[in-house]
Amino acid sequence: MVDNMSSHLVKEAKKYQEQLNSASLTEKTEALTQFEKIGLPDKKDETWKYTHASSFLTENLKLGTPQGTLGETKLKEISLGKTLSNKIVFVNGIFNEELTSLEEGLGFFQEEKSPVEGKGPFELFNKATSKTNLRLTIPANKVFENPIEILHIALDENHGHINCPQIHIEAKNYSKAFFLEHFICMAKNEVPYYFVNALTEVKCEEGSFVEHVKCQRDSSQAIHIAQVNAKVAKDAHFKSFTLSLGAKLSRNNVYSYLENTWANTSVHGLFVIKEKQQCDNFSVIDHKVSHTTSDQLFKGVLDENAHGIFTGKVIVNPDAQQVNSAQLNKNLLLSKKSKVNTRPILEIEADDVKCAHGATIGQIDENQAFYLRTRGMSQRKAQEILCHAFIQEALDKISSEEIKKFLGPILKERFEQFQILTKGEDNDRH
Amino acid sequence: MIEIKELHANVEGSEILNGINLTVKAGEVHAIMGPNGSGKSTLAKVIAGHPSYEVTSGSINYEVNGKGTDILEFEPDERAKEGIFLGFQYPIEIPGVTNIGFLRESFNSICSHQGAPEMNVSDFRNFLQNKLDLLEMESSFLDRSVNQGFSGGEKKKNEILQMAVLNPRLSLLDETDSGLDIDALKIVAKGVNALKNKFNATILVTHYQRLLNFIVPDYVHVLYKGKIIKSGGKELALELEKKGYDWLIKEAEQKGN
Repeated sequence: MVDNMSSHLVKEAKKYQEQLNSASLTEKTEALTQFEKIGLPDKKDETWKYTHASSFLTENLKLGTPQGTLGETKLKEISLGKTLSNKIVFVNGIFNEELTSLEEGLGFFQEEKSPVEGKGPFELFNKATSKTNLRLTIPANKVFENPIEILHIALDENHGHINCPQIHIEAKNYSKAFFLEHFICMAKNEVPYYFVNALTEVKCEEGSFVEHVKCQRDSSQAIHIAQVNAKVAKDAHFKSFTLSLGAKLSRNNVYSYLENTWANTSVHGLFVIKEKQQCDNFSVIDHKVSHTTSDQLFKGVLDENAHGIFTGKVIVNPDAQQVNSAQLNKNLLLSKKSKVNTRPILEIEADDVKCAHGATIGQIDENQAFYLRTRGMSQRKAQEILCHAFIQEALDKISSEEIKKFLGPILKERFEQFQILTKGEDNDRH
Repeated sequence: MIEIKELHANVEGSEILNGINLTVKAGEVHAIMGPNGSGKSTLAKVIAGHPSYEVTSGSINYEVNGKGTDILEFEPDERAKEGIFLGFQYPIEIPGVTNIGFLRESFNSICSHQGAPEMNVSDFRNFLQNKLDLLEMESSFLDRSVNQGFSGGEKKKNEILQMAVLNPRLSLLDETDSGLDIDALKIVAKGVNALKNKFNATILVTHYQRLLNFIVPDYVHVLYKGKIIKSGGKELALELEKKGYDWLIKEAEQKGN
């Protein structure tokens, strides 16, 4: 291990572990030892080719216990629920039992030991320092149509802190559930700088269906690194959707392992970023056996100096015949200074498979914009409409109507904040 | 209503319009005809304010609030709000935007400019119904993406539907007859005729006389190399149908020499 930031993180973790007196101490120290060995990724690491994470982190970040509370009314403002919905709440990275409410049918436990595995540096660091190990179980044959919310709320007090929330979801045989994992900054006074290093694990047992939608609206100064690991059993379906709007740097790691026949996964996402935001989407879909399917659509809309990255790795193991996989990444650049790196990585070792992939990077279509303008819409309005039209295809991938409805106004508000091409810039392009 | 004087326009450096003079009064229908590449569509686009065309000289005087105003500096949406409508030769597909959302957005932006109240979705659907009937369109059209997967005829009907919704003072219909079979052509013409009154005017850009059997023009102009080389009444179109453009071109070139 070489860099200063890694040693700083180890020092912080050790301080935390010293005060700890629980059954999980052994696994935590083990995780830290492993983290210490590998350290934070550098540019030589292919999986982190475009994002030098440690350069976004500073050595005054600490693993503390930030104060700060939130009233029920505030909570209601940002949550889905017409009815008192199922929700698990974290405030400043710490599990908040009082604000959490779950109906009886769901199994919810705080465990001594972490059920998660974890190999990558950020996963290991999360495991070494996570304060609670939560396990949510969807009982066999039960269907929960109303989305279950997992809220991560950052307040002013979170400034300078490292948050390592962790949750483990288990969908038992033939169960069905929808999740909205929502990261949101509600600071009043300033734009806090904090580092979220979240870990969510999903185990889909036979014939189960889980949709996990993440909506990331962290503070514009925050660093957000989050990993979703899913194991998908026979006949099960795991859907992931990652919406990234906030944070100075966000990195979404989604790993989906298709472990038995007819397992199916969709790993979709959308990022809408501006200013100097960087959003790095990294996914691995691992077809371990035959007759497994996957599909993927990631869309990006970038304004000003924003930088978007998409890396989609699809692995088809030698024995995994009859696999069907499709991947597509489409990007819309609204300014000359924004940029996108897109990279499909296909590791196909079987011969009887169907794997499609594609990527596009484009600008607002001038003909479409002109068409709208001849119908009385201003340049700005026309662009807003075309941005919405562009993202619609991605948004339509979300199965939960309730979540889709919830995200609509959030995206609308987002586009209203956009500089999008004023007339001057438009002329500049000709 | 509109007076175009000595209009010159370029696209990427090459001159397409080469001194157009044209005056259209309220209540009139003008047809612009001419061979391929003569600048007919360009003229319509320049009047609508297409950003790819650069007007190098001349003026377009259009009546705004009862006063003749040079609209060359007006943005396309400002022109639309003042009642200029361009019916596209190739209507643009916009996947992800529903036809009804598009029509309502468009209607409301023009209403709010003209000080009229905006309409909510259900009122707007009612408002659209007789316009759909006029054009013999199913209301299921409204919930499809704008022009996406529409047939040629459906696209053109959709243009006239927009015209009916926006109720423009000056309609520029660019090759509205192309891509239409005879039934669709009759319906489109019926729509255009129904919208005609003494307060508005229409400029039809067309290649063929066919459309003019159904929408009868008051004046016919022949455009060649960016200039109007001949103007006349509706009988000029019939003459062109019989004799083609060559005789006119020869005549014009002799004059030029």
